[in-house]
Amino acid sequence: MRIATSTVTNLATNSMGNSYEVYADILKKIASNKNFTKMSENPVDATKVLKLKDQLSQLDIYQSNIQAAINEMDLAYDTLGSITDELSIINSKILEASNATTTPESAKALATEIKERVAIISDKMNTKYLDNYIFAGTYVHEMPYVKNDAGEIVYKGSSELAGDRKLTIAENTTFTYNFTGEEIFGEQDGVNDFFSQMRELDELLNADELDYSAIRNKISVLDDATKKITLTQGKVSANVSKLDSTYEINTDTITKLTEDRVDLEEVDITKAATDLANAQTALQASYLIGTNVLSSVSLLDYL
Amino acid sequence: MSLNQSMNISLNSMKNNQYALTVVSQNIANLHVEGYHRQRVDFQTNRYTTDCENVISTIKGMNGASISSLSDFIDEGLFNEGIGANSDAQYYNTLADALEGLEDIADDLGDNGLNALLNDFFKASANLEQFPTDMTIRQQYVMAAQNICDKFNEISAKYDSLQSDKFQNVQNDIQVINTLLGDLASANEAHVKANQSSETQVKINEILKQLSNYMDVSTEKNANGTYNIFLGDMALVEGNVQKFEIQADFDSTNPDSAVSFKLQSTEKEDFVITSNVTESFTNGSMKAYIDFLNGSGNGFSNVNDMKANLNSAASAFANALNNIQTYDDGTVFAASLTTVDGEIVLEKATEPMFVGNDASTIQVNGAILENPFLVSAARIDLDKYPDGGWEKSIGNSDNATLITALQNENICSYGGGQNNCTLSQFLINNAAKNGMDTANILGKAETYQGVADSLATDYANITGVNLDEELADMIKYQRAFEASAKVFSTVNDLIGTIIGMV
Repeated sequence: MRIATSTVTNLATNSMGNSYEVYADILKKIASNKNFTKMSENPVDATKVLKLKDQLSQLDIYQSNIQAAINEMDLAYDTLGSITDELSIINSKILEASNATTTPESAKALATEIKERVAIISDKMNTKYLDNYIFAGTYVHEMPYVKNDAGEIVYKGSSELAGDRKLTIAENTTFTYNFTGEEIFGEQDGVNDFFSQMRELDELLNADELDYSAIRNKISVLDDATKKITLTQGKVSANVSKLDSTYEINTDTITKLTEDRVDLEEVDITKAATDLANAQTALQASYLIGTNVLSSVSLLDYL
Repeated sequence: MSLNQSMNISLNSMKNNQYALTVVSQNIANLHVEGYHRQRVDFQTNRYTTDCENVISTIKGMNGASISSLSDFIDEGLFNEGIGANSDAQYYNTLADALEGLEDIADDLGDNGLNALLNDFFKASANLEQFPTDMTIRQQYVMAAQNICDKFNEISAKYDSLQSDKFQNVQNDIQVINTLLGDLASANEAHVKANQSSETQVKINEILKQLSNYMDVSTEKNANGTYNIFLGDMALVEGNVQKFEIQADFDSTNPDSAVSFKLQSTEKEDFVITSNVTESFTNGSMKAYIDFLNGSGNGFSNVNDMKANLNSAASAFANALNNIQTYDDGTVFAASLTTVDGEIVLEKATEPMFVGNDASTIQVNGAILENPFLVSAARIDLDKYPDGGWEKSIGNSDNATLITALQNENICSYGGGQNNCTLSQFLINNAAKNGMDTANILGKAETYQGVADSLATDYANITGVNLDEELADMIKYQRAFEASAKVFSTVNDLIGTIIGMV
């Protein structure tokens, strides 16, 4: 077969160019630490990586919301626990006051202490997490328990009916994470709610003639409040546990998805180093052969 | 054979071989000249010229030899096949280049651009769920929305710019084509004047090859060796006359504008052909630009489709957000914040989140940009407030929850379906399709370029110069020259001896 001299030189230069292209491609991968920098270099893997990153980003949002909910729930749980402690102290004071040996003077002293404890409870119910009152329902900027002009503690938060604060913790899943004061201390009706009952207790203890039986009956109010708090704490505890579990599952998913993304997107440096060595050898060989071909001995050298 | 005859034969032989050596030298000198065809002298034995010489002596070569012709190694069939393959390769190369431009922009759709900004936006909306009254969080949310708008605007402008660049390429290429058509007419004229010489043929071939980069070269060879060239049925060049110039039209102010072509007569100013001219380009860079700018129906990405998809994404996003932002069915409504007597309260939301409804115009409502309190994070159900007081439910973030949920809602339509994918999936699908199309066309470009290169190599192997072959021929002609010179010298000595004897 006849081969033109230009064909020989073209083949030699093309071969050198191709070898250099392979070498440069591997260098680019190592420099960028990515198997592909453009979609067209590997459309299938690049699409998978985009989808993985998308899912990871969503999970990131869910994790952030779950963490925020857990933090607020933990605070609510602890606060409710300390309120239970106060209720327990008030309970013991009522028992003391309901004893027939208690004099009106002693009862007045106990009334003062109980009043302080009730004030502490209302303060605790005004606990804030960041900017929000956590027992005010959706009226997050409204201090839930305040004293009115008559000095009575009244509830200013939203009613249970008004709905809840929610956070998205998974696709199509929201989590309710707020409480209303009414949920814990009963609907604000000025008679049967906890703080109204405590006002009534205060009046009983400050009376000149003590009604021991009526005083003792107020223990049921404390029992009722304690029950509700315990129930709420149980719900909080169950929810935190559920959130923790979701958080753990998401963390595992994130780890797996990140591994998948890294496998697809990032360069296996050991493989890349070996490929680079091979490409370098091939490039040197093509330069050597190319040089020989381009400067090959022709008949001209014999003339 | 007389001594004089011997001297004449050897003298002619020296002249012939000298000419052959000149041709070899010319071949060697043009060894690396693109498109050069090697030449070779052909010899023939001289026929008898006098009565005393006869056929037998002619057969024996006793009348000497002369140069019969100068052969050009041109393979017209292979040449035509080569420029056809070049047109194919240029079509795919140009298309691949254009798609790579589109892919660079599509990179802005993925995790380096719009999709990343969307994720930031949904993170901001999730923060808004947690802190619906926090001004900083609201500002972040509004800025995240504005960043998305800016990116939509930027990508849209990039598509417009790419479209405009490619049209400029069309204009430039058309100018080159028209110049080449003029050159072909001149080369045809020169070819006739030079009696169809090898040099003018090389020039014509070079022009045809260059034209094949831009369009499919449909030619007709005339009896006088000149070439007519056609676009569809219309002869653009006939012999030494360029009949038409090609002109391109494109309305860069209209985003839906398509590129079109017409033929302007070079002889009559008012004679313009517009019908079927665009469709007559079936190959080369022109066809690639037409497919890229106008859409080909072959299913691969083109700039108009990508723009339409981007607009559709922007519109879906704006509509979905606006619907949530200003929702109101009489009982349930979206609510934003306002301040009354220093107290933050809710009010019915009336301001849409976005103005503009396509990628080039979408913007966050100026009122919301100025006052992020106007973002409606709450959704109030009046049935839940029989005694009123909904205005104080500022911790309600149901609307923000709906916005976050939008991330997983099928608000976009892809592949002929209706509301069958999320916005993020839509963007990823577009970027992926663009990438796959580019990879596909790059593969085809490589294949067709390989075919074109292979044919060019075959053509070069047939028509090109091989240095060793030329040097072998040079030695052959040198030796023949030396032998003839020796015969001439010997006969001359012989004549001298005879004269001396006399």
